[in-house]
Amino acid sequence: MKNCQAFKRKIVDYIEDQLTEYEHEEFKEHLQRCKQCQTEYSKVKKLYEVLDNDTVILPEQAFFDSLKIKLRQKNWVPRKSYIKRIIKILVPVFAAAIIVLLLNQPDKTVEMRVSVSVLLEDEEIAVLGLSGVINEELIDELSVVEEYLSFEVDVTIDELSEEEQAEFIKNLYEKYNIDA
Amino acid sequence: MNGDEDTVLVRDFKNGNEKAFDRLFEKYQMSLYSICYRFTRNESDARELTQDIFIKIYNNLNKFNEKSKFFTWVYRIAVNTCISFKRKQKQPEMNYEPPGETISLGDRVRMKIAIDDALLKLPDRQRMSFILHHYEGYTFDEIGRIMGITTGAAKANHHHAIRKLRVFMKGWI
Repeated sequence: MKNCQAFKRKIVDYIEDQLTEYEHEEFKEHLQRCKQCQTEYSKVKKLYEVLDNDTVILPEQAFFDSLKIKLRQKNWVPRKSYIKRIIKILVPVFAAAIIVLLLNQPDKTVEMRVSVSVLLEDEEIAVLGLSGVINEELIDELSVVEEYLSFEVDVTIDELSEEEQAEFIKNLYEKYNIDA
Repeated sequence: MNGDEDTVLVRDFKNGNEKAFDRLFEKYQMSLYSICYRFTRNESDARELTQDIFIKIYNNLNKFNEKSKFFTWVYRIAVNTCISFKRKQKQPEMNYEPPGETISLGDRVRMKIAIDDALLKLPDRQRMSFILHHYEGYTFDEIGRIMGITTGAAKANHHHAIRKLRVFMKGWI
């Protein structure tokens, strides 16, 4: 006979009817004769009942109607456009870095493709991609640049003034020896 | 899920039929709002997130390449938008007491607060897996595709969430 620990791990699957027919019957039989598992089962079952009491009060239809209209307004600007802004800044930097390093170190090259969509972990929204023929050293360099795509930097850039943003780009250009 | 109907509507929209988008909007508005509400536990945040999600859907629908099902694409946008959403202010700590034998209106309110509190304590991805499975009825396979994780990871997220909720909701079960 299996120990209780193995049965306890199956309580959620039993409640959600995810067990095979054999496992289901086995669990049911065990439950009938094991007080400890009955207690555990009752607690999880009760948790499901409590959580099922959680209801969502939907907004009035007018909210959805006005949103539908708002979407089609040509001058509509999304509340947060920092992803687009960061792409706008970093894509030229990546592209320029790839070209410069390609020109300077043409020997012993490997091909690497860096998709911004992957970097942003959102393949469907960010469709821009980067590619280039680069060497192994550049791969290390690019991994450093990738750090600039972290959320904290996003926020930081969002909060920068135009002058500070220009300074930020200038520093990136200097870091990678790119002629502005 | 009627995937074929979605595909037809998406193609109609790409061909310039704006009404097709209205149908898609109406089909998903409730469930997207519900996910946002259940994730943030806050009506104002849920409205804001629902708006952001629909803006992304509308602005990117022409780029939807049908490699995945439409609902997977939509929910992926919703999940990413919710998870990257940072609450402007921390939820105030609520005090609640478990109920006695009968559940009064006051107990229901306290239970609601307890559920809010418990769900918000879950890590974002566990919370989202739990919401998608428990409240929206998606399979772990579908959740895996929506969240870009394996089926096993989606299931593990759910089981971890249940385990933690058992602890957080101790006084209620």
